Amino acid sequence: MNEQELIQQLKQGNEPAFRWLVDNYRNRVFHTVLNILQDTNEAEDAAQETFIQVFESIKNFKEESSLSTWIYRIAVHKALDKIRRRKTRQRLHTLLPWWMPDEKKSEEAVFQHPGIAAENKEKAAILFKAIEALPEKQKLAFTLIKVQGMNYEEACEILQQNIKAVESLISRAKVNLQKQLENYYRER
Amino acid sequence: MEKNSTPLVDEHLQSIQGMQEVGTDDFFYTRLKAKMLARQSGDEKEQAMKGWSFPLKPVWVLGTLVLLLAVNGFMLANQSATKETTSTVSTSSLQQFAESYDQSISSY
Repeated sequence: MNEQELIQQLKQGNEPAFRWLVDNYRNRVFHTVLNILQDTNEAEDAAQETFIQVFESIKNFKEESSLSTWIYRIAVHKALDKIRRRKTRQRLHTLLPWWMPDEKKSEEAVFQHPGIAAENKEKAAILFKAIEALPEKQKLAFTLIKVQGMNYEEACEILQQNIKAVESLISRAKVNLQKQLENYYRER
Repeated sequence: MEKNSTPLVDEHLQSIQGMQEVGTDDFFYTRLKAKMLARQSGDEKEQAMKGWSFPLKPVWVLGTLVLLLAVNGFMLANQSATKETTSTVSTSSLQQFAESYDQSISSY
């Protein structure tokens, strides 16, 4: 089945086509949102939300980009929504610590990426912690390109930014990460 | 040759080289369908409850609580100010009354 046929069938609400799409994209979508969210449960939820949005919005898909770019864009937005909600919860926890006692645990949690070899886990966890503290746009660009290994062209389409803007985001992200890592090792 | 300005970042990036793609399990579609169905029935319920749902949202509950506290505070402040005025007025009128009989309230 080519992409055009798949899109047409999805627009007609064909369930086997939707299942085929989910089965073919679920791992890539999950991997992307996991790298951004650094939380397995939230990543599962964001991946599900992505496919629900795909199902509900496919009729409005204008095919200005490829289907995979469109799906990734939705996934990134869903992950961003989760990050924003998490930040709101953390702010509320600072104001009213007795209201959400579990929030402290999630703030202190160290993310161990399940796809990383055991001997590299410690260093990777330090890097992920530093990435977590980056400003939103820098975090997204750095995660997609440097962590996920996406090419600049694809990342630009997903982030809806031009190449210069993305390069600038990566460069600023690297400087910020360097400072954070220096501080981390100085304080240790 | 340009000096590397982010050596620590590059060193840590090495640790994620060769990272395996992490996927979901085979029951992902089943969970997704269950969520879609739950949402569908939830939407129907929400439509039916639409008129009731807005006052129960946390933002409205908190807003109402803050408003009530503010009104309470205002009323308390107002009441104590009125009390002070009333007591000053009543003391002075009592004094006047006592004086008209050539007396003083302190003598009582």
